[in-house]
Amino acid sequence: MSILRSTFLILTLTLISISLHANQEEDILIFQPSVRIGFDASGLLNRIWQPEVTNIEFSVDGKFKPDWFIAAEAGYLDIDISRELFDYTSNGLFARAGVDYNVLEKREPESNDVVLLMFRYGYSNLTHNSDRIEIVDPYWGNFNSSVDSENINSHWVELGFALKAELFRGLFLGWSVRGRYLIYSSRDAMLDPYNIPGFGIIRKSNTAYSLHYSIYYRFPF
Amino acid sequence: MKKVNTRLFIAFFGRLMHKMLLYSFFIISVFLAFVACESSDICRESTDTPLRIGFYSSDDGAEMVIIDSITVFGIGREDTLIYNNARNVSRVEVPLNVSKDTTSIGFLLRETIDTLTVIYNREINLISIGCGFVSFFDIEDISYTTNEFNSIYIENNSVRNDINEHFKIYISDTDTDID
Repeated sequence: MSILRSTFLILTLTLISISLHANQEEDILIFQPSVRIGFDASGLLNRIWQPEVTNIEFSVDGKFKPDWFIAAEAGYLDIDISRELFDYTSNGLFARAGVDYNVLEKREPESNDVVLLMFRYGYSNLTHNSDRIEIVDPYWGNFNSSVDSENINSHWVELGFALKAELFRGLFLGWSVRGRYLIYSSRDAMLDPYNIPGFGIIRKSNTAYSLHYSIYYRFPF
Repeated sequence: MKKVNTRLFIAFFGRLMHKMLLYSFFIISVFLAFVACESSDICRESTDTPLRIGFYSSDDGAEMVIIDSITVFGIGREDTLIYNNARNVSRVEVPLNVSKDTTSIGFLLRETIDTLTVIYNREINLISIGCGFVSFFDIEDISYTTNEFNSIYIENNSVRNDINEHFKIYISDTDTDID
C-alpha cells in the first residue's frame, strides 16, 4: 500500500510540474527513429529475498513517430520451492506487446528523458506441479496430497506508468508501475498457479500490480 | 530580454526534471529492496480457514443471541470437543475437514443436540511461499436438524482466510427450560 501511495505521489508531482510548463514555445522537432533494448533488474533483486523465484525479463521499444513507441517485453519465470510441508515447481514463458506514449514535453533538444503511459496485452504459458502437499489440521487430521503437472495459458491487459532517464549517452535507467487485469486463464479448480509469469500473484478480482526497474541502451540511427 | 530569461529557465527546469527522474529511480529501488519484497521465510497472512457461525434471534433476526452454555464437536470426532461447555457464546468457529467434501458438526445447547452437515468444494491454494498451502472451501449445500435450530441462513458461501461470518443460525431467544 505504501508503495502505491508513494508512487502516486511521485506521479502527481511529475504531472503537476509538466502541466505548469506546458504552454511554452514549441521546439522544432526533428524526428529521429530509435530502438532501445532493456533488462529488468527487479527480478534479480527479488532473488535476494525469495531465492526460490527466478524472473528474467528483457524489453525492446522503438520510436515510430514523435512521442509514440511500440514496445514489447519477454521473459521467463521459474519457481522451485521445497519446504517441510510442501514442494512446488512452476516454470513458464511470457510476452507482452503494446504502445508507450510520452507525456513529457521536450524542453532541451538534447534531452531524451521520457515519462510514459503504457498499454500492453500479455500472454503466458506455464507448467506447474506439486509432488507433496501437507495441510496441518489438528482436529480432523492432516491432509496429504499431490498435484500432477498441468499446463496453463493466461491472457491479460495492463496499464502502466513509466519513467526513463538518460544517465549517459544512450544509457537509460527507468522504472514502471503497472496494473493488470486477467481476462482469461485456463486454470484448474484444484490448484491455482501461485504466480503467473509476466502477470504476477493474482490479487482480488483477477488483478495484479507490479513494480519494475530496468536498465536500457538506445541505438541511435 | 524576456525571451532569454525563459530560455534559461527552460534549461534549468529541464536539468531539474532530468535529476528528478533519476532520483525517482533510486527511490523506487530502495522501496523495492526494503518494503516491497516479501521474504520467502516469513508468513504474514492468516492460514486459518474456519467456518464461522453466529447465533441470532428467530424473533428479531438482527439481534445476536448469547448462549449460556454450548458444546460443539465433529461427528466422528466426538472424543475431542471443539467447544466444551463454553459460556456466553454468540459465535463459534468450526474446522471443515480438508480430507473430505462433507463435514458434520454436532451442537449441544439447552440439553438438546442439533446436527449441521455442510457439503463443499475444496480449493487448494499456495497463499505465499512463507505460509504454504491452505484449503479454501466453497459451500455447496447444507442440511440440519431443527430441535433447537429454527433455520440457518448462508450469508457467505466462500470460506477463506479472512474474518467473514458464513452462517447465521436462528434460534429462539427464550430458554426452553423456562416453559
